[in-house]
Amino acid sequence: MASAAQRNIRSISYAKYGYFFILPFFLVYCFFQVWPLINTFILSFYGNGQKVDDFIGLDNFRALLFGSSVTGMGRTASAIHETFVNTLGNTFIVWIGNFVPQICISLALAVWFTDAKLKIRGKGFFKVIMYMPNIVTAASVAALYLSLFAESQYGSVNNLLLSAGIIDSPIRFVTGCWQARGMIMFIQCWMWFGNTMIMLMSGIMGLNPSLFEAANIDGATSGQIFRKITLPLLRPIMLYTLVTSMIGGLQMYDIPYLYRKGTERNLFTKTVAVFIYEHFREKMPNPNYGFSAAASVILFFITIALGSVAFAMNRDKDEAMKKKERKAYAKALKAKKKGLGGMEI
Amino acid sequence: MNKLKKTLALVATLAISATAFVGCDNDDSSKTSSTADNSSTADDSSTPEGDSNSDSDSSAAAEIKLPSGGDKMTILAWNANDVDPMLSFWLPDSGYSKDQINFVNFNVGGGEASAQYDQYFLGGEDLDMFMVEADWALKYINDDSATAPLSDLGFTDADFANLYDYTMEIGKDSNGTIKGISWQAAPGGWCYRSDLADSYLGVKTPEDMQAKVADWDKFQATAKEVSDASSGKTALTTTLGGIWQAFAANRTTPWVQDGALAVDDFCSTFIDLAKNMRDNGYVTDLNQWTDDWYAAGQTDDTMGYFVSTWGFGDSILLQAAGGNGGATYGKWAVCEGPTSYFWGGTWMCVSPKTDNADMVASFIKYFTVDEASMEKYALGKEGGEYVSNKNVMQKIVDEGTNKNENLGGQDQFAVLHNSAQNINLKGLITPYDASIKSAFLDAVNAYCAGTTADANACIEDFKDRVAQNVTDITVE
Repeated sequence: MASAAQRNIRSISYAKYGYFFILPFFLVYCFFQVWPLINTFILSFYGNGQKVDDFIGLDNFRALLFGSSVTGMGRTASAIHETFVNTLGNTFIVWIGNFVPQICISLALAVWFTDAKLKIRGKGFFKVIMYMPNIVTAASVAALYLSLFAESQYGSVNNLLLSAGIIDSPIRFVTGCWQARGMIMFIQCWMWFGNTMIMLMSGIMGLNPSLFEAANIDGATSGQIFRKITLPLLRPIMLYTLVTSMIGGLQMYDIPYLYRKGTERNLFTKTVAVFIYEHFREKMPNPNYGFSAAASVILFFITIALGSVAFAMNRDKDEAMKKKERKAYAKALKAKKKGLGGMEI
Repeated sequence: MNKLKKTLALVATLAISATAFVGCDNDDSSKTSSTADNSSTADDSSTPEGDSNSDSDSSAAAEIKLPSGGDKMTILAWNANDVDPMLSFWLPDSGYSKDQINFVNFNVGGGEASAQYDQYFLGGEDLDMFMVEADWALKYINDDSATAPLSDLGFTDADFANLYDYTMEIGKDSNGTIKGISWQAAPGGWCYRSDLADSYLGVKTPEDMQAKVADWDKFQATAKEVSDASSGKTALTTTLGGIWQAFAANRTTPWVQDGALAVDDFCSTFIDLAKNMRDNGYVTDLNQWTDDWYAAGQTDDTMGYFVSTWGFGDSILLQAAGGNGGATYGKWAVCEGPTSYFWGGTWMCVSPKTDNADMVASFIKYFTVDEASMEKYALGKEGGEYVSNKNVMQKIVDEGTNKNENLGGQDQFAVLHNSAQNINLKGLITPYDASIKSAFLDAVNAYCAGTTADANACIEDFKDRVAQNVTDITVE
């Protein structure tokens, strides 16, 4: 029989200090992250403009997703639906257009830089140079491209092309549809391929070198090594890159926001994030918090759905099969133990 | 362990709920402190409470009804471009010290200031006075909890009799009570290249030029003349945005009537004008506030810019000329243009929660009532200020001391002074004007660029834009 003192001593745990230390983080996190997140969901059920305090249920979502005539919204519903679908389309187009070339370039560079046979000199230098665009702030990048690719005849690139006689009239780099999308895809790709390359390189360097050696000794070509060894083993890192890039891409904001002509924003490059910001901040005199929040929530669910699909697609099928079998076996065993007549299920 | 968990949970809950009350607490304390201040100082404000709600006639308006004696006078603004020079004039002349001023500078663009103000108001901190832009002034002026009538500070309508009418109109709420006042006016004119005007049109003086652009039909006819004479090289003016800035002042009915957007002939007239000018190259396809916009001024591709008082410096015209000694520096001239219009400007509002009414009243008096100090500020501020008082500006124009080298020595004030007196905004202002006007310009730009097919589609596009941007009004 332990005394009270002994029982108390047993309950002494230094773990509580750990909790104290992480407490400030959780407080700040709750206050500045969790609550705004919850509040976004709440706001999405409330009205816009002056009606920000009126609960309107799912009207914001109905307007954004279907544009059906929502009571009391009139033309707003159809107009906002059109814009939202348009911005959603832009977001995917610009993201895909930047991700596909980006991953190709990054993968090629990562493989070359890590290939022991190639002996490329100045690897560190190139890595730094290629990572550099990522360090420059998006604002500066947008300013740089806007002045280089200003779309009138006074813009540097247009001026050069015009005087060289390559084009007859200035290219609409900023207000055109595919020209502007192309520019934003290029800028995004240029800004992020260095980052992706470093990530893939670290992935490749983490692979067991003996596999490459063995392949070399067996006389595999570089192409074969790439296809049969590097790519399959790199799958987790590729998945990680895909998912992070997708989340980043769906929230793409800074360049599409800043890359515009004066005060006029190009409708072909407006992303969902820009749409959200516009309705949250720029609608005078009263912002449309409801639409803004509802669009955020929709974007949130799209991100979850796409993320799940990406994970499902990249799941190791053999592993999943084995897991399933193990589970079934365990279940059978349990049933047997319970004494269900000893039948094999 | 269980105990620990419970304690932790309790601490966390307390901490979170404590933070939730931060705002309220602050509000309370500032309120109590201000009421304490009221009672402690029995200056000329006999009854600080209750009176502020009652209607004030000119007879009763001589006294300051809001409390005085607060710790510091708090001024909100989104940049220091105006407040700093204003303080540097007013402080020495009024005898107040810099320590008595709490200038909260949000350092954002004018368009973003409103959102920052809303946050600040929620915080319940000390507030005496704040600056507003015409675009969103009505949001606060129509809200009695945000702005106090100037009669509560002892001002009467007679005090502001010599101010330009349009600056007064913007400061009035829906009942006609003056709740905002501006020390500056921002009438605009049309600047043109005098050398090009001479060679293409044979026009020598701004008066002759004014005759050629006196209304919008003449403006287009002159544009054709310039285009023909230069074989299509030179556009009469640079941006549709500039034309719209002036053209929008032509409206004779408000944009919003009975809570609904009014789309009328005015819109189609501008669409036709814009399309005509753009298709024929009478206006370039550049946009305002881009690098190209400035660059065009140093070439012969464009002949003119719409410029308002503040735009004669680096904001527009000086930069368009290529800076001091630039390619076209000194080759410009200004005339009134097809319409009298204003562009921009800042208004002052007083918070009903002010606890420094005497200081605020002194400040407003210095810059909007006292003609001597207004003149001093107009001439003394770096780069000059176009103040809102007709008499002062008339005097400055008559003296003829202002010579703008970029305009070849012309005095832009003389031209703008005429313009400013002709602006009529009576009954035309709605809180949604800025959003509606920019939506219309975007729609017209899209039409001219070929995104929308015809004028009807452009109107539909415009309605769609307004329906999304301004959810508080109905759009058919």
